[in-house]
Parts: sequence; C-alpha cells; structure tokens
Amino acid sequence: MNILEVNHLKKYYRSPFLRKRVRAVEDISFAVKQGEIFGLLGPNGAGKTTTLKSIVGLLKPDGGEIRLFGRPLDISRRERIGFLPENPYFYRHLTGYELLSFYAHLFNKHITAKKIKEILEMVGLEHAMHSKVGSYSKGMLQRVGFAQAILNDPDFIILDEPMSGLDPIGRKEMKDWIFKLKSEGKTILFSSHILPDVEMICDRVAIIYRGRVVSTGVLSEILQEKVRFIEVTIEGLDEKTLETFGKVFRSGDKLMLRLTSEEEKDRLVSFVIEKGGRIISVAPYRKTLEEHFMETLEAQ
Amino acid sequence: MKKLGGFVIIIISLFVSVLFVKSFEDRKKSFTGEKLLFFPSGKFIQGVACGYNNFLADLLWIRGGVYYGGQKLKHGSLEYLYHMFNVITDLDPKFVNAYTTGGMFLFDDLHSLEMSMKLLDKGIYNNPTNWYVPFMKGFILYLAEKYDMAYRWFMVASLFETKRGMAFKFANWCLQKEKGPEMTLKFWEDLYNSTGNKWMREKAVKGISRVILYAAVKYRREKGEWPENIVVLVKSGYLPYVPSLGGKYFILKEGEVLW
Amino acid sequence: MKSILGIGINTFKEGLRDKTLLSVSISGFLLIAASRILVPISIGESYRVITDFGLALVEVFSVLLTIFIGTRILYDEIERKTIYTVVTKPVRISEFLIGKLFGLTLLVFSIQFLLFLTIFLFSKIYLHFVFWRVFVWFFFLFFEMLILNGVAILLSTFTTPITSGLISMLIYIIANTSNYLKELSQMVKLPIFTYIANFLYYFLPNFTLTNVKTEILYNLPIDKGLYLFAPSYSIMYVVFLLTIATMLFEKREFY
Repeated sequence: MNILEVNHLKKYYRSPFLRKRVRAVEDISFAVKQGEIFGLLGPNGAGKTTTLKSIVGLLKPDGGEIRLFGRPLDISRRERIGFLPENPYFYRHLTGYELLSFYAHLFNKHITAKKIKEILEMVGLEHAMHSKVGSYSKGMLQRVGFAQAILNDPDFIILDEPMSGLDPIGRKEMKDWIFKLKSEGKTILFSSHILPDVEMICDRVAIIYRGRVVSTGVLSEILQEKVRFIEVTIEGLDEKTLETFGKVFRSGDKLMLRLTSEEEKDRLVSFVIEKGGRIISVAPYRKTLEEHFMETLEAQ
Repeated sequence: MKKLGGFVIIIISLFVSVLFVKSFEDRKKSFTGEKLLFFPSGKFIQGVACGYNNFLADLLWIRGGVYYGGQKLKHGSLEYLYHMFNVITDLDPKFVNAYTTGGMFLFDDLHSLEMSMKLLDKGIYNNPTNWYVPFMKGFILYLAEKYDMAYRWFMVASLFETKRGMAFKFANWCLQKEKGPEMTLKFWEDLYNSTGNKWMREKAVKGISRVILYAAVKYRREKGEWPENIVVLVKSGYLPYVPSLGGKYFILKEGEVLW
Repeated sequence: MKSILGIGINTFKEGLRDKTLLSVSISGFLLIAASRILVPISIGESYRVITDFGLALVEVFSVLLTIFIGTRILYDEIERKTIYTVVTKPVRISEFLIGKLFGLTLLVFSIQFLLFLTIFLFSKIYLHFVFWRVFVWFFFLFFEMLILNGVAILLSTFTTPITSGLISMLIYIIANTSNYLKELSQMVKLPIFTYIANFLYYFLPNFTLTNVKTEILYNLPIDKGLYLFAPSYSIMYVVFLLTIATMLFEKREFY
C-alpha cells in the first residue's frame, strides 16, 4: 500500500518584480510504500524542499497530484503526519516544554504531559526542556524539531534535511531515531543532499536533479549500475600472467588492474589465489552523485 | 463550495453589521444633541478631533488659562479670549464651567457685556436644564446694574436649581436693590457664604466695601469729618449693622475700607 | 476550540515578551504619571481634565498597541517561519486566525486595563474622586479595540506591517469621525460625496455610536440598547473581517 503518491508534480515560483515564472519543480513522481524509509536525494536547489512543502500543503502545486493515505491532503490527514521543516524556527520565547505543549494543543487527540516529557527525553533535551528555545543551539533546534514532528505519534513522518547542522554524534542519533520509528511500523520520507546519510538508512530513494526525478529505486542498485571500474591490486605475480585480464599497471612490486564488471573481478581474484599471488585490495570506483546526475542529464 | 460558504458569511455578517448601525444611528443622536448651532471653526476642529472633542476642549481650557494669566501679567490684550471659549464650547457643548468662567472673564477683563452674554446664551442653549449658567448670566447682569434683566435670569435659574433656592433669593434682591444698603449687604454676605468661587467672593468683598465707603462718604459730607470706625456709622444710622464676611470684620480708616 | 485556545495563549505570551509592548506600555504609564502636573493648571476642573486626559491616553495607547503588535502578528510568523510547524498541524486557517485575534485582544486588553486602573487609582489618590461610570466607557472601548484588532489581522494577511499599520490608523480615524462626514455630506449635497460618506459610515467600522465620552463625563443617560449593540455589532463585524482574512490566508503559500 502506498502511503504517499506524487504524480507529475509541477511548481513554479513567480519572481515578485518581473512576474517571471521560475521553475522549481518540473516533473516529479514517486511513491512511498508503507513502512519504508524513503529518501529524496539531490543537490541543493534540485527541488526537494519544494516537493516536501507541496506534500504538507505549505505550497500549492501548479500541476500534478499528491495523494496522502490514498486521498488529497486535508485536516484529518494532517492528524496522521509529522513534519520537520528545513532549518526549523520556533517561538523563541517559549521553553522546549512549553513549545511542545503548545503543539500538543493543535491536535485533536489528547497528548499528555508525560508523553511530552518522554519525547523530550528521547531526543536528549531533558536538561534543556525548561530553558528558552531562543537559547538553543542549532543541533538542539533540530532535536526539538524532530520532537514536534513525532509528537502526535504520526503514521507518516516527513523530514526536510534532518541531518543538517548536526555533529557526527547528532547524525548518528538522528539515524537511530529514524530506525526506531521504522521498527515501530512508521513510514518516513526525508530529503538530503549528503549521500552517505541516505545510503545507510534508506530502503529506497528518488534522485532529484533540476526539478526532475532522475531515478528511483534502491540506492545501491542505482549506483551499482554506474560503477565505473574495480581496481584490484596484486602482489607476487608478473605482468605476463595477468595480461589476459586487460592492461596491467605496475607500481614498485605491486601490480594494478582495472576491471569493468563484478564477474571479471571474481575470476581474477580466484585466478590470483590459484597462482599463489596475493590480493592487496579490491576497490570499486563509483561515480559521485554529481557525476551521476550530470551523466543522466546528458543522456537525456 | 467552501469558497461560496465564505462569501455567504461575508455578505451576511456585513449586512447585519450595517443593519445594527442603521438601527442605532437615530437613537444615539437624540442623546448627544448633534444638531447644535453651526459654528464653522469649532465644528471643523470637531471633525478632525477623532472623537476626542472633550479631550481637545480640555487642552484648550488649559491653554486658555495660560493665555489668560500671561496676558494679565503683561497687561496685554485679551481679545482672543472670546474665540477660545467659543471653540472650547464648540468642542464640548456640555462644558458648563467654560461658559460661566468665560462669561466672568469676558465681562470682568474685557469689559464686554455683549460677548459675555453671547457665550452664556450659547451655554443656556446647549445646557437648557442647567441652573448655573442662567444664574451666572443673572449675576453678571446684576454687576452691570441691569437689575430687571438680572431678576429675569435669576428666576430662570431658580427653576432648575435643586438645592438651596439661592437663585430665587438673588432674584428677590434684584427687586429690592434700590431699597437701601441693608438688602445690598445681605446680598453680598449671602453670596460670599454660599459660593466657593473665589472670583465671586472677591466681588462680595468689594461690594460690601463699596457700601461701607458710600456710607462713610455720606457721613463726611454731612458731619465734615471721616467716621472713626464702622460702629460709629451704624450708631448714627448710616449703616444698618456691622457687616462681616466669613467671621472677618471690615476696618474703616480715613476713607479707606480694609478687610 | 483547543487549538484556538492554544494559539491564543501562545500569541499572548509571545506579545508579552515583545519589546514593543514594554516600551509602549512604559510610555503610557509615564504619561499618566505626568498628567499629575495638569492638576494645578486646569482651573478648578482637575477631575474632569484628569479623567478626560487619562481616558484619551488609555485609548491612544490601546490603538498604538494594536497597530504595533497586531499588524506584525502574522507577518512575524511568516517571516520567522514559525508558521511552518503550525499550519501543517491539523489546524484550520480560521481557527488559526481566531486564535491570533483572541491572543491579541487578550494582550491589548490586559495592558489597556492596567493603564485604565492606573488612571482610576490616580484620580482616587490625588483627587479623592472615584468616578465609577468610567467603567462603562471601558466596556465600550473593549469592543472597539476588538474590531480594530480584527482589522489589523485582516490587513496583515496580505500586506506589510507598515502598510497595515497606516491603514489601521486611518480606519480608526474614520471609524471615529464618519458621523461628521455623513452630516457634512447632507449639507454639501454632492451625490458622490454622499455615497462616499455613507459607505464609510455604514461599511467601515463605526465607533461613533459607542463613543460615550460626553455622556459619561456629564452623567447623561446612556441608551441601554448600546450595551447590547456594542458586543453584537463588534462580534458580527469581526466575523466579517475574519472570514475575509481566512479566505485570503488560505490562498497564501509559504515559500
């Protein structure tokens, strides 16, 4: 079952002075299945935030269709989603606890003070819950932002750049929370421009570039197809023996081969072991995301 | 559908609001007495006063006091005084004290009975049930020695006066003004005792001094010398009794009356 | 209902910690204290001058508060992006705006009431004079401010604080003077002028009917119907303002 379906989303911005239409999102389609972690991946300015804002209703699409839980967005649907905006801003004069209890008032369901405290503890703000949000660091803001996104125990959580502004420990924690939510059966959609973040936690991704979806699927598969070559470094054999596998480079007493497929690599590895050589390293050379985007765009 | 609902609410709520205003505009008018005499200057200010007419009237009232005091010290002209009181009372037609004080100033300092009467007439017009304005009019007419007119206005004041019947008494004295010093003394004494108004009290002191001086001058003309004191005047029948104000007696010394 | 209350109280708290509020209120209290100097120069009329002056001050500062805070109340939410996490919750735009109006009214009312109380105590302490009827004036002022707050919120759904501040001020002035314009138009007898004057009188907020300063100062009777008129008229008018505001705000996007 699809929790979210985005079909041919289109969104233009109008520049205020010239009334010129500036493209933000050209044609974006993807679907998020129940219980998965879905990543929207793309460089800055690709249209990730525009897409997410359209999903939660902060922007009104110029074309296409968005369906949440099988229907267009409305009040009752909002009851079941959680949203963390990019670089979230909150009422500076409220304390963390006051802020969450304010948000709790906005839901129909009753959210107890105990529940609010639990969530604050979970995101590691139990010591700062009675100091003003205005004094929070960027990392703490991200935490309180995450807390308000899961306050209503939503089925579907949308996070815009949740890892930005966090230190390595913060990133690790954020990833842990996302996994925890998944284990509770929640569906998560989040955006990022940082590949490793996405790689580690996403079930599936949609790669967005210049307002279009470039590819959708499991990330490792998407990038696997695009592996450029595999570099194998060998010791204890001579160039002649390995010639059948392709061009051999020599550096000191080490030999290096570049192979273009997994099968070839497997054959080489077993061949080297058979001949009594030693494998020093096997390194696949993938393209960067940026290279991938550029190539796909050129292909189009 | 939702949009239509919004428009319906907008139209209905506006319609009902207008209806409310419509149904109340006439009732309100009867209370504020909007249909006053048309005074261009004051009315204009009222237009731009944003409902703060009373407040502006107060500011002018204070300003008027400063102007009055300043001009009095410099012995300068007070000719703008009438205009100022006129504007103050345009802004706040119920400001009784502005009419009465204005009437006093205009008569006493500007020596204009005409302007004083005009201002007081406006006050009577705008405050038809107030006793103090016609009383002040009568009083100023009395000072101007127009006794029959004063009598009429004291009678008008007595119609609205609630407590003391002072106006009625004053009206009576107007009739008896020329019937000897006794009534005149009584008049001033009563005035002094029944008002807290400083200006009126001064007038009372002056009035009694004048009666004593009048008697003293008469005594000198007939006996060839100044009387030794007031008691001499009373004993020889020139004064009906020894007048006092607020427990203080007057002193007569060689043609001068002190209090 | 729960969300309206939540938004209202939050708006109130937010405004309470706003520096503008502090400076406006302090200057208000200072001016009231300064009105003490009016006592000796008001030629025997100090009670009415103080009452008048004080009430005018309370009203002016209420209007200033509405203009300074009310016109920024939505703008700041959008500008500071705090609105992102509010309108994405299950809150109707109408609930959001009613909540904002509620908070703003509560805020203006509390300051208004404190200023008013200061004047009241002031006249009791310095003039030994208690003029209970000024509470009636305060009652009417409250409903006038309710409408003005609604105006400020409506304006701030589509324009900048400065523009909406100026327009609110203008509307306040018109609301207090439209009866004179109407009267004037009856004398001028120019059709276009009559239309404009009538439009301003009937369709824009009208405070001329609930302006009872003169009646209160001179102990004149006040039409009992006005006590019913003020709340019902202001609520009806606020419904009108907020419905427009809701329709405009629903169209808005948050980039």
